[in-house]
This record gives sequence, C-alpha cells and structure tokens, in this order.
Amino acid sequence: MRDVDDLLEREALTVEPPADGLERLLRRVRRRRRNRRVAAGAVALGVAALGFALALRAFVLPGATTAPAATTEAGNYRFEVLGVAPAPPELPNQAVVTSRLDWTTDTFPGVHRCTWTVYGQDGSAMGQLTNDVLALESGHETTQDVPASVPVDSADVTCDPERLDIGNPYEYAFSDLNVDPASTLSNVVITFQAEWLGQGRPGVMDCTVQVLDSPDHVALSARVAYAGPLGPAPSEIHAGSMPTALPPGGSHALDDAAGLTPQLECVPYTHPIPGPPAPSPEASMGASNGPSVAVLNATDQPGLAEATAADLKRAGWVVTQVGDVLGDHTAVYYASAASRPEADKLATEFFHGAPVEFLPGSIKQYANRAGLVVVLGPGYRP
Amino acid sequence: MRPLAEPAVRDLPSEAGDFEAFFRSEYPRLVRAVYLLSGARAEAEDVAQEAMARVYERWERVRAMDAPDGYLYRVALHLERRRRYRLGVQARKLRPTGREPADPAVVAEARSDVLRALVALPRADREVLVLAGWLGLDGSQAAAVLRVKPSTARARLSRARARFRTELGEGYA
Repeated sequence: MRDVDDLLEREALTVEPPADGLERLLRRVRRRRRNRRVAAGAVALGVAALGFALALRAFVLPGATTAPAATTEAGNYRFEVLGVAPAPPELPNQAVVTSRLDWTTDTFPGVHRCTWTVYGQDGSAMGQLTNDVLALESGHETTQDVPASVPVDSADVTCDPERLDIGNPYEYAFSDLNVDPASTLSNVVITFQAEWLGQGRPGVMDCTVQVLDSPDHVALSARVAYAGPLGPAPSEIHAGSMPTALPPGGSHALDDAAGLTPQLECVPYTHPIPGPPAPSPEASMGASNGPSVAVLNATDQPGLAEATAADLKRAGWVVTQVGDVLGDHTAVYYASAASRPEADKLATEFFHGAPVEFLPGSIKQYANRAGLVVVLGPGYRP
Repeated sequence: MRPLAEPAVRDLPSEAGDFEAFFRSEYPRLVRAVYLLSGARAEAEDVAQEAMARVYERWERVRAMDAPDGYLYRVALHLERRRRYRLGVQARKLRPTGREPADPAVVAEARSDVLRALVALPRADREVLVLAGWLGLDGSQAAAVLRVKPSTARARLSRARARFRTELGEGYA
C-alpha cells in the first residue's frame, strides 16, 4: 500500500490554483462592499469569537453614547412565522421558513443575532440556523433556508436582545472621496476610504450624498443607507442617476468624473429612507402583472447588468434592482413557485435557455425582494 | 508549482501588506485542501476565495491570532459545509460502484480513484485526513480547527487512514 499522505499529495497537486487569485479576491471584496449597501433582511456574517463579543459588551455603558446604538432603549426584531415548507429539489435537506419581520420599536433595532429552529411533528427540533439579522425596515416578509434532513412541521425564530452594532461614537470616518471614473450616467459611484469608529460591528448610517458639478451647483443628491467595513478599507456608494436625459440602450459613460465633487454626510440610521417614486404606468407596461426582476452581474464586465436591465425594460419587464453578486453561472432564479412560469419565460426569451432555479438565500440578500433574479455568470454574452 | 502572478498591489491598503504574504503562503494549500474535501475544483477555488475574503476583511483581528491559518481553515470548513447544502452536492455518496451521482461536475472530477475513495469517507474522517494527514497540522492544531479534543482528532485520523485504504481497494496494495 502506498502511503496515504503521498496519495493525497499527488491528488492535491492535480489542482493548480489560479494565478490571479489575489486580484480576484480584491474584486470579490469590492463587489461585496458594494452589495452591502442594499442589504435588507437577513445578512449572514462570519463567525465571531465569543470573547470578542463579551469584550464588546464591556464597552456598552448606558448613556455613554449619543447614538441610537445605546442599548438601554434597544429594540429588537420580532419574527412571526407564516409557514414552513420543504425546499425544492434543488436544495435538498433544507426547509424554507417564511416569516413576517417587524421591529419591536419604531426605530431601527440594529444588528441582532437570531436563531431559526425547525421542529418535526413530535415537536422535537430537527434543524437550526443562526444568522446576524439586519433589516432596514419593519413589516415585510422574509424567507430563510434552514438545514433539516427530515420533513418539518413548524418553526420559530428568536433573537438575542443584545445589539451588536454598538459604538461611541456611532459613526464612520470617511476620506478620499471621489467619483469613480468608471461611473455611468445611470450609475454614479462614489468611492472613498471608510473606517468604523465604534466598538461593535460596523453600524448602519443614513447618508446624504451629493455630487457638485460647480462650487455652487448640486448636480445629484441622494439619500442612501450605508453599512461599511470595519476598515480602514476602500468602500463605495451608488448615488443613482445623473439628472440627464439618457439615450436609450446600454450604459453611458460619465464624460468628466474629475470635474465632479462628491460630498457625503451621514447620521445614524434610525428610520427607513423614503424610496423612489412608484414606477409610472408606462414603465410597467408589458409584464406589469408579473414579478419584478433583479439583474445581478457576476462577470468582470462593468455595466453588463445595467445594459441587460435596459434591454429587459424595453421589453416591458419591471427591473427593480441592478447590482453585482458572486456567481459561477448564468441562471434565472425565482423566489416563489408562483413566479416559476415567468422565470421560464424570461430564461427562454432573453437568456438562451439558461437554467431556472429556486432562489437561494445566498443571492436573495442582494435581490431587494425581487420576484425574479437574473445572475449574469462568467462568460455571459448578450 | 507555478508562481502566483504579481498582484495588483495598488489595490491593497498599505496596512494589508502582510496579508499579501499570508495569501501567497496559504492560498495554494487552501485551494487544494478544499478540493480534497469537496472533490470539485471549481467549488474549491470559490470556497478558498470566499474564506480568504473573510480573512481579509477581518485581517486586523486575524493577524493578531496565534494561528491565523487555523482561523482560515475553520472558515473554509464552515463555508464548504454550507456550500454542500446549497449546491446539493452529495459527494459522500460517490462510491466506486458506477452509480451516477447527481452533479455532473462531480462525475467528471471523480475519475481519480484516490478522489473517489476520499469523498466516499464520512465527512469527519475526510476532514481530519486532509487537515492532519495532508496539510500536516499537528493533533492540537487540527483539533482546534475541527473543534474536537486532540485525542479525538488522533483517533479519527487513525480510523480515517484505515477506511481510506479500504476504500482504495486492492489495486493500491
């Protein structure tokens, strides 16, 4: 018998790690930070050491901070389980728990650790999942995949009372603000360095971003929710569209990003930011009764999602979200069984018969609750 | 081994310079370790990237740990387990019986007898075999990553080696 370790070594050496691994890593990190801007609902964060969490507690002194992060009046999340269903065949050994998610007070509760538990018919726990939850608004439905190897009958969700995003001060330090030269007229991106100055997990800010095209003229102003890195690290905010008439089709480069001056002012996030006006009747023609569509770019081609979204809109689809995501193939995802026929139609008509799959939780958080999600995978060509 | 290409240093914050050294040192081993765990090359690269990304974002804390590589492998193990749920890749069902597994990518990559024997092992055996057997973590390091006692890790390693030989069969005697 050849030595076991030698056999493993031979097998391992059949894999050659990609030479551009570090560059791909940096792109991945940048994409993730960009996507955090739109996080609403459950966000799975990494494993945190218990000692670190305890250390954070030590910093939370009642009344020590003027920010809403003070835990003396902290709210929490309340989940009302609406149903439990087995996951579709694509996701074996999982149950899908649908809940209504509310804040327990009228202000943003921050980040809390919540646990989903699913039970069998005899009432015994059959599976459990713990996530850190960050919901930017109260009163919406959310679904969560929970590992469970047998059919489940019921579920509950409980959240720790401890708020994890604490800080004195509850704020970020921003520096090196610039308008990204790769911005388009429909997607102006502000890049900067961010560093969380608080002690807990990085918090959520209500930010007003302005772009000035002359010292006394604001060309673009937008309010966005921002959750950044621990930092200091590069970060960015998508400020929206320049108020310029856009020619139809494709993405349009910003002529002179260097002539634009960005400004960023943030306060702790306490209440939902008013959203954009509802789509006009014209914008909802065609597939107006169908589900909304999110288009997410998993390729290295900038602007591909925006161009694809423009094509879909011209065909009558309601596109509510454009962004980036990690992914290894092109696919059309549906969030509920009712959306499946539209997903099939979308895949057939626009994406060369791309696979149609149930929306996994890993993508759901980037989709802003769209009914259909298109991921443009590496190698995708319109 | 083919050297890594020069990274885009301009994209790295200056304080992350030692992360680059850590990346160069650990990334190839990490990709290969996850490959041995999962039996799928594409998944190995993706999990390794994600694990490295999470370490990068916490680098200030991770670099101060006694064993940053231990943290890295713990994250990678966690990600790989979660990924298996999501992708429905039931690699452990692969056995040298010719039975068709569900994932075509796994079928294509399961041509190696060594890999087939490896992915046929119970999950715990495979993890300890890769961490302690191939990566060379000592008993206490592997135990820390797997969150078991060192004695448990050693016992598992011995059992895993025996099972691996059995799965390989007479052709490797």
